[in-house]
Amino acid sequence: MAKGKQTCKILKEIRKQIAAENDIKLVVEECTYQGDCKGTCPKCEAEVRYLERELEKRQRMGKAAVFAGMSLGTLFAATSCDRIIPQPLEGDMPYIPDSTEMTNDSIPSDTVPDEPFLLEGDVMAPVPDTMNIEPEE
Amino acid sequence: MMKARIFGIDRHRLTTDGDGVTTLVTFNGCPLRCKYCLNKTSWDMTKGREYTPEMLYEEVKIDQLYFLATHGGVTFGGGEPLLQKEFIKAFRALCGPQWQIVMETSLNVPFEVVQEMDAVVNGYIVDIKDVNPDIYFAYTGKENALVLSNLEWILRHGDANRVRVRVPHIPEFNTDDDVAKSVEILKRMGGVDIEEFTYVIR
Repeated sequence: MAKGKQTCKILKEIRKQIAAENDIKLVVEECTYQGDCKGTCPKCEAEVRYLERELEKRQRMGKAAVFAGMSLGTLFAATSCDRIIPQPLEGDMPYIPDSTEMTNDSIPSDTVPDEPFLLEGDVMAPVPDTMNIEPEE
Repeated sequence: MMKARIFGIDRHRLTTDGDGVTTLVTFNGCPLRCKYCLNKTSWDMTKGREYTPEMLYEEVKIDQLYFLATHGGVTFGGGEPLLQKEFIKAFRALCGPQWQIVMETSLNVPFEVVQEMDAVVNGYIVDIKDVNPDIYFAYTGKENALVLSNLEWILRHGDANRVRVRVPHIPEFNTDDDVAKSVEILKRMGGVDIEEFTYVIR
């Protein structure tokens, strides 16, 4: 399995467990994208923001967020992913150009994410209409 | 306003920089000039982008849920992150105590810096290069006396398990015997998490 897909699978499992531990209803649609990905996408990010909103809602009602402390080793086993995903400790970093260098042509497509939020900070992509997150009743 | 130049931010790293989901943040600026450095961008202080601790925190907190759920956080590398102690201290004040902050460092910095930062960070990943000072000098252009004394201090001062010492096989600079000698000395110094690996030359 390609690295990005593995990362996606693990992160999805973490989101599911956060939702379960905090009684948040989260329906995760199976990803049908065929190619490799960066491990996340606007849809995955929208699920994270949804969880954050739900946790904040609960905190306002006096419920503390529960994080039981997930082990990545267990998650790798649960998702049938290889234990070690080769990632360089250094080198191959997604290079952040100075703002003066920043043109679409100057950013190698394989070293920076497709989505703008990685370079620009907390910029949320619009939630697609087909988003399958069911709000709590 | 406090600023540091950062040339890379890599999200969603699994098992590489610690136990949980981590984001690697790499600073420009390094005291070493390693022959096979993979991040030579870090030598150029005009590359990358200037960040304040607040800007960086705003950017990386996008993954806070993953950090909290998996006991992960931010790994600072470079370049040499310990050259940015004030920035990292300010960042810690912003992110609070729950995120794990790990230094991916050469430890080739003054002892006072290590001593001061030990209260701020949760762990270290130390690429030791080679314990032999001649090999170290040939490979990095610097001496390693500070590296060894700093490492010995952090291994003895607190839980040695918070320190992963990486010992590279460096083509054309050290031999398998040299690496074995380094590992033996590191164990005697109190190292428990020692990892051998081989540099990939590109």
